[in-house]
Amino acid sequence: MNARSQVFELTVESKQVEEVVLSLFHTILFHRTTGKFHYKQEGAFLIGTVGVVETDCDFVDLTYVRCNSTSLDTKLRREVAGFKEVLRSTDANAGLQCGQISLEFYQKKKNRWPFPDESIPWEVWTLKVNVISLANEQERQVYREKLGEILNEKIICIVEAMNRHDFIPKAPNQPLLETVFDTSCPDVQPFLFKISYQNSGPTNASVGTAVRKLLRDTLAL
Amino acid sequence: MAGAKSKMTLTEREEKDLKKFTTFFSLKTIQVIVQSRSGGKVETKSKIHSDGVDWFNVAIPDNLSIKSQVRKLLAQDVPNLNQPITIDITLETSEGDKMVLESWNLSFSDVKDPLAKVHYAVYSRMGLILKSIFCVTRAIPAYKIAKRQTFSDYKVLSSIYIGEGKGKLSSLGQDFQTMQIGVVPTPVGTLTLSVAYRTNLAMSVQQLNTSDRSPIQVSDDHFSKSPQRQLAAAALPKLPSVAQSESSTIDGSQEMWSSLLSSSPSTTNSQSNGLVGPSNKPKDHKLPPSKLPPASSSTGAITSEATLSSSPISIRKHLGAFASEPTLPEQLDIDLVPEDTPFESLLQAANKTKQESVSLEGKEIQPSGVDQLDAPGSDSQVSDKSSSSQTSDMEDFVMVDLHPAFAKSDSSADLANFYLSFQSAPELELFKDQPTLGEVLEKHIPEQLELYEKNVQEFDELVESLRVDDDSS
Repeated sequence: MNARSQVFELTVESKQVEEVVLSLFHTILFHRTTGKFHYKQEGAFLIGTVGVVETDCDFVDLTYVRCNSTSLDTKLRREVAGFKEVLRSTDANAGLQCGQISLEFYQKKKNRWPFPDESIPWEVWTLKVNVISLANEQERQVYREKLGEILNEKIICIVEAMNRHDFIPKAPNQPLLETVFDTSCPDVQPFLFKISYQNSGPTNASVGTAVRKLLRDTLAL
Repeated sequence: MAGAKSKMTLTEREEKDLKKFTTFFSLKTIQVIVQSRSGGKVETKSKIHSDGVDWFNVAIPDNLSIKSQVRKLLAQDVPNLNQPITIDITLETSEGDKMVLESWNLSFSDVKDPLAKVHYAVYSRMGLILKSIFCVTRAIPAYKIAKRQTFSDYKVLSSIYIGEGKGKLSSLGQDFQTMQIGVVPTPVGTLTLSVAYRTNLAMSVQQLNTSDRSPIQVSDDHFSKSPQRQLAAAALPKLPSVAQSESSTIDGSQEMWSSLLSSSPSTTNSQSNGLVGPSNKPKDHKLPPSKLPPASSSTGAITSEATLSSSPISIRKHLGAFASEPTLPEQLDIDLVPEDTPFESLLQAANKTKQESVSLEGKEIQPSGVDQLDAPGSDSQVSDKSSSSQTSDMEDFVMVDLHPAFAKSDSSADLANFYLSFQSAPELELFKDQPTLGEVLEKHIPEQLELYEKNVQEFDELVESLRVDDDSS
């Protein structure tokens, strides 16, 4: 199955990385999260409610809306912190820091024992990040607003993509709930997602990683 | 949560639920938009089990004052085919200047999707759009303005009404943007939410000017009896259905409308002004009979006037101050009083003569104050004068005797001639000593031929070089 994919590319300062990634990924996850399902008899179910919270950024002139769920936020922040570490690690050997982080929504397909479950992605959001360092505080101030505008445009892009009539997994029966939704959060229920990141320095050969990924995927089967 | 849990097969039930969903979706849409422009911050908790008030699985705080005001509006079966819900966000400064920042539009079209399941697809789609509204309201420029309103000397107002807001797009400034936020296909029709928002946030001169006007706005053609005017009035937002969120400024949108109408340039050139639209009828615009369109050719503002005046019986539609009562065509006595004289009724009383209605020439009475023209009854071209597109053309402009005010009649010719001499640009010196055709044939052409003959070698070389280049390539 072909997953649809969207790529954003952004140039940010190192201290903005976290907020930039969070703002976009939270906006996506907000759209891809429902309330908790409570199954009743005959396949009917009740759905909980998703709370909203407005979040102001410190290093970017931006306010975004996200799900009011501490566990989801913590999960996302953990991944973004990891991404930031990876970016920082490239600092020593290369002048330009860059990398990419992906948010992938997938469905699980159960396989017979002893084969592990198969993951079928249906939507992938990729964020390419270039890290720059601005010369002075004045430039920083200007860029803080500029980046806010850029992110607002991206948020509008996300909203437009969300409202296209594309494939979204159907609400499953109770036994299959975990093949579609992430049930680990106690308060909300996002679609199953995973976040992956890597630094793609200028010397990093993409073919190598592709081959490695291919091998890994083949072995996993 | 009745909608989401019940799995009804009864279409009647589904229909009822769909109506309920639509109404609540409209209400929640309004809530999210208006609250986002109130300057406050929204924070709601996620709930594992929904309450009855939590529609569409999104926790949206209910602002009671918005709810109570909108409830009446939503009691009418809206949005329906011709009646979208429009939410206008307007900035008002402490000086009373107003600027429309954005216009949200929830419309309904009859594109049906019979496969859409009311209880899951439609319901969850509505929830998705509400989430999108949360995100978009924070991402477009009006949010920052609204957020700062508590510190500044302006406020942001929301007006909600039923009816098309499209006519007001021009009030969003030159480069506004539009965006479709979401579409909900349902078995009975499609709901569409879109927004048009201003990107140029500088207060324009027009807005500053209009705010100086008196609260009672009367546009130039206000007293015209033509049906167009009434249509324009009908297109205005209906006052009784206007609900306001902030301090009561129900007249806000209405005022904006009227100022828009009246701030259009004077009637003579309003035809060429796209901003005004057909509802603003030029009062003194006339067409010569030869250029009149057929009676049913168009629906523009001019049509009614044109068809009326092209018929043999002309009825005056505009009565200015001091104008006489409409005269009927039987009063065809030609008299000495020019028909367009200002204050003609006064003259009429003095001379005890009858007014000529000039109906056969398809002309109408000019409103008082327009340049007077002595129109000999048969000269229909005179009426071209007021159509601005033709005044520059010498051929179409026939200057007739001009009567300057307070001047003797015989001196008018001088003034007219003086006027005429400046009607077109003087001839350029360059064209004065143009050679005649005979001269050209006898002198210029042989000279040129001789010159070419002399340089024939050069031309041959050029042609040769081109040919060689061609071969080599």
